[in-house]
Amino acid sequence: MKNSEIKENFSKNIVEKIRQRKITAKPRVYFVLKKLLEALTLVLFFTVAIFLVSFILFILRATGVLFLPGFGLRGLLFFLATFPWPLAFAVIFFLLVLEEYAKRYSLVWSKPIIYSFAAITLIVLLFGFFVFKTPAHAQFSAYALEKKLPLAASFYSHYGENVPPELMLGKVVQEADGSIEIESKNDLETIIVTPEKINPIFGRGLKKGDFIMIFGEKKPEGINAFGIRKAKGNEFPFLKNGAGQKPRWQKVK
Amino acid sequence: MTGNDAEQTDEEIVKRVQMGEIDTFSFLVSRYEERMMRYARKFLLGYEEAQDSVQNVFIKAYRNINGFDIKRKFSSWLYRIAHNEFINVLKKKKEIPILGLDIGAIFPASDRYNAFKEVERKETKAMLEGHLNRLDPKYREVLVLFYFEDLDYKEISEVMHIPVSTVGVRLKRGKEIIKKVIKHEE
Repeated sequence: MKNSEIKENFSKNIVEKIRQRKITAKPRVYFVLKKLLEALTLVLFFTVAIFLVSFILFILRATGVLFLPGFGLRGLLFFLATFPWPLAFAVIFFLLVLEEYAKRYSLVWSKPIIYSFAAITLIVLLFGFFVFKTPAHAQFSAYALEKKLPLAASFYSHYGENVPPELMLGKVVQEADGSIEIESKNDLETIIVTPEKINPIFGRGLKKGDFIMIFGEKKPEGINAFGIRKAKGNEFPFLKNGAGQKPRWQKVK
Repeated sequence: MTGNDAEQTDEEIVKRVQMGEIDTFSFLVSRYEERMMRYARKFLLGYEEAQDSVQNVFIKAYRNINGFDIKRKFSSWLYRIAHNEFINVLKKKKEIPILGLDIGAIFPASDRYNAFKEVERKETKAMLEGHLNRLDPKYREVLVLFYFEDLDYKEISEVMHIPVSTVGVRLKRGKEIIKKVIKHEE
């Protein structure tokens, strides 16, 4: 068989299959819907990644864990131990999935992957930070914890309870000679705090009535503080011994 | 194919297929069959596989013809379908890992590979003949598309979905590997 005959047979073979409807072309609406689905999936993954980033920041802030690195190396180690690593790995997973999805677009694959991955990461972190700065999580967690959204409530309280016992909140009752007396509303007792170190920026000018965050060891004779900084009364809704306001997730004695 | 059909561009023919003139698809098959077969044979290194794969390429092209934007270049689109099809064949043969990370496309690459003259191109092409099977598929494909399919850097970038700079780097490295192999044989 000549080359030209082979060629003709090849194209005839395919056209014959088309005529016999053994091969059919997908309709245009299929491609429109496919593009729409891809776009929606991309938006969904971005939303989840942004939610997770903002949630991590919120929970670190609400539990006071965010400030642990400010208490020196010991505080940093506690921070790393308490950090919600599973959520962080989930964020990385979503970033990788977003990168894979984004590779369908020439804007992404025509440049080295590091650029697009960095851009995606930056977008997620920035938007996550913006959402964290809004009262969205505080309002949503409060709503969820009223048991109107049981799944969400357990999500917030699970991470909200992940606070090292070395991190405490108290109200200054008295300050004298380098020691501070604080009142912890839940324990209903006065504890003498002997600070080894007061945060030079955030712990200055402590006076009666101030709320403080204490990072230290609780002992029978008092708290051996590694660090102290000022706080607002309702700044850390998930910290135990919350002075001023009782955390809603705690059972009433 | 009539005189008028032969003068029509690929994109004009695709438009006719999209409007229901399904027989005109054969014109595109005739135009590209030889090129696809050459690409397949040189990349897959097997004649039987090449025939089946090329047939699948045209079948997939027809199935997705309504998704083709006629403002784009049909040849790049077809080569992209062929690339995906041939990569799947190599993955089934385990010549390429199923979940692979393309290290060369992660970081920016300095593309110092310069355009070359026609004589040099012919010499390189001759050098590559018979030695393509010594190359990793990622280098082999770029060399096949550049030297045998006469695609330029940008077209190869569109087919393989890699940066233009990575195309240059792979061409350079592929040639270096072949030269080493030939030197070793001597």
